Amino acid sequence: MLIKRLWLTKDPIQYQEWADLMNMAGLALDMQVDWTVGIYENQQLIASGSLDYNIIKCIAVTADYQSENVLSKLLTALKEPLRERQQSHIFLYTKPELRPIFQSLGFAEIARTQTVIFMEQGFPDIRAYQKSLKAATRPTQGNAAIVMNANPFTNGHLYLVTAAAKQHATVYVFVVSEDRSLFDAATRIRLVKAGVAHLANVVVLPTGEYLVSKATFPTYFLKDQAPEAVANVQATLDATLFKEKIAGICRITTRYVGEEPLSKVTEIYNQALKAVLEPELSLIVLPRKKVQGEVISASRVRKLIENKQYEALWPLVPLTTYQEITNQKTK
Amino acid sequence: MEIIQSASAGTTESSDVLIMIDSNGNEGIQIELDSNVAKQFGRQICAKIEATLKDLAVTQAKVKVIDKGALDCTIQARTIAAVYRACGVKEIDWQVIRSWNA
Repeated sequence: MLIKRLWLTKDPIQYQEWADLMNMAGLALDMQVDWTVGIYENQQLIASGSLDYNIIKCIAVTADYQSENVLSKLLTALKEPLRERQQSHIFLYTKPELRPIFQSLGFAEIARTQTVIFMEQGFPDIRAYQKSLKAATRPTQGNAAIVMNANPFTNGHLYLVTAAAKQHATVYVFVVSEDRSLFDAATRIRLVKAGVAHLANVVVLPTGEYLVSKATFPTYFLKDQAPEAVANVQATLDATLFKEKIAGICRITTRYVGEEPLSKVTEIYNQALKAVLEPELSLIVLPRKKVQGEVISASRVRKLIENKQYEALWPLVPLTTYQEITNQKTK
Repeated sequence: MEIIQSASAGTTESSDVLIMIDSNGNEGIQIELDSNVAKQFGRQICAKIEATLKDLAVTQAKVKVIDKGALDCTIQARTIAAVYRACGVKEIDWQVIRSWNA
């Protein structure tokens, strides 16, 4: 038995062997991976698994070698690059029917849909995140939630939060923790806190790795390069996780989102939220706030920053965000 | 030793054990064991891990254990490796084990 790294983008023969194995296992040829391992027996590729940073996916073992501890060897081989990346907290996507096998290999279920199950291993796990939420919750009922990247926090975000704050006892604003945006996570969360400081019933929290993260919703960060079907699977999973693991802890009954005329992936996400949350929870889609006939969006703000049109930012962002932008400019 | 980050050691292959460890605030030692032989050896496995943590002067830790029939020596070695990694210590002093057995 030979275990080795496969170079899918560089070696066409290995790619073909891998593609055949994926097809046989009924898996999509997901190329959003950065490390692939294969196990060979008599020059035949009998098993393979891949990583997308700290997410394990594309796991397949040929029928003849299932139940032969090959899977365990595969996971061990994938752990090596994970250790180099200093990732002890890992995620895994697989088919729901394989849950018992991966559970016996030390993975715990986070959420599942009809087509996919999302599992994790290591710390800090979903229970630690839930505990941190519990510590931050207020004792009110019928609360609202908004999840935002806030890159950066605009008057559009503020409008959404203000509308929710008028209707609900407490509004939980979850700010995406993933650091893949122009403004880093710490700055984004700071600007949101500053921007909603005048609203006493708003609590700002990080999403951690469990809401719109690169683990739950990788295509969100690819925007419109991802196939819609894949985005839909991930959006459904993300919505399910929110509904089952997060909403209850904060006693959230309503989720607010902004209408999305521009980004296809966000539109798919809004539709998935509606399908998953209702009827137990409600989803309120508010039209975007407009200034001078044009919707306020963070992407528009970023464009203005890029073009150094700072004057035009005035009507689009709260003072605190404006100050941050001008401070960064002078740095 | 004080745990400053989450870490793991070991595998889920037969006769091995996977030990995952994280800090635990001030809640002492918490061990969660998953083993096919938990009925027969669960208490012994947990006792071995607790003793090893004590020898390493770890007082606060959340430990998750996936056991695939590991012997005591394996359990001890994997626990030590996980603790050293979780404490950010690169140089492992394996000789110290001898002093525990003395």
